[in-house]
Amino acid sequence: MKALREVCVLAAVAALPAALALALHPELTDRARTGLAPDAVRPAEVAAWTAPVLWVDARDAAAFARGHVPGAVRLDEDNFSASLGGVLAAWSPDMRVVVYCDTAACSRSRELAQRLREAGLSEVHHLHGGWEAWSRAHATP
Amino acid sequence: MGLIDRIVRFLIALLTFAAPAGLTAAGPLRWEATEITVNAPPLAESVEAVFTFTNASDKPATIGDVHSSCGCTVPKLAKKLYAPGESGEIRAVFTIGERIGLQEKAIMVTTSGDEPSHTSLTLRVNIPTLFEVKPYFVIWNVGEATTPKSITLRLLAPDVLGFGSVMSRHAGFDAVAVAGTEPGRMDIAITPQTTAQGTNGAIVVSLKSPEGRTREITLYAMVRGTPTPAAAAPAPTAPAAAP
Repeated sequence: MKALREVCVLAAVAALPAALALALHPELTDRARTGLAPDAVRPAEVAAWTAPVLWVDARDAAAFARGHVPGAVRLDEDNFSASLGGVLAAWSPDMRVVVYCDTAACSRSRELAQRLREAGLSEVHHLHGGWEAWSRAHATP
Repeated sequence: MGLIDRIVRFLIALLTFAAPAGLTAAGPLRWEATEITVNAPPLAESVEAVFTFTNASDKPATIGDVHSSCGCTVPKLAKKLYAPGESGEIRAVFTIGERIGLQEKAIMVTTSGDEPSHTSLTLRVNIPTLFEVKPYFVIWNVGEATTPKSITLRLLAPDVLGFGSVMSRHAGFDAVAVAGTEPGRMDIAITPQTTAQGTNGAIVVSLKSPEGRTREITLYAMVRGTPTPAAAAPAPTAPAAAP
């Protein structure tokens, strides 16, 4: 009986901050549940943004030529600083930046998003699922 | 332990042990290693890893396809057909470019024939970070005072890479290197000649190794915004005073 009472007390103590987190940051609990990184976004989330978006394509030139998000700028990891000029030419401080690569399995978008943040850009995200997820979300039925 | 619990444990064990074995040992090829980690020397342009295999079956094995997850990694195979017991190798050349940190690339190998198989090889390359730049660009708003703004460059391995030169590639921006307050640090002071209208410029910093190898970093200076009539138009000149 005593043990049951202790479990109830502990559960109540844990429930209070959990309820607060759910009320204040519902998106955080959703991310914790789905395992999404804090800077990762899904195509549907980006579509709901009202802020202008700059899409940055982290794939190679051949993949970019086959197809890319309309208006996207390619960032070449091989020549990061030289190709950053193309990103900056399309960027303005009010924009949110979303970097994408091929699929959820590729890590290049996450790495380049981090490098763009270190370079001085703010509001930089990477697209969960990459080009594959974007294409699926924008496929015509 | 209940039946369901036993089944779940069995499936976990199956996935834990059988799945990786399926990825690496299925088919005729036996690999010496399916994962290789290479530490790239500082300033190396590329590194190479060799994945060695043996045809462990009693039939000839044909490698139908070898491709990598990244254009930066080029796998090379001397030939496609391997007799029983014959060994071969896949040489993967990874071009470093301006990449930094731990890079992980997959190389997929497919054999054809009676025992088709798919093997995923992993190449990890540790690339040392030789410098840090913060930030890579500076911005002025149209009409803002033309006061210098600076970009800080820190050399993390000064014995490998030292300062060379700083050059503005746009006549509208001046760039001057100022020795930092601590060893290995340089501040690059950038000044626009005017902020009357929007413009973009590039500044190239050249770093040099003791052996004479160079590494160039491109930095950016921008004047942004829409010129207001007061900022865009030349200031009205006062009428000449009458003599």
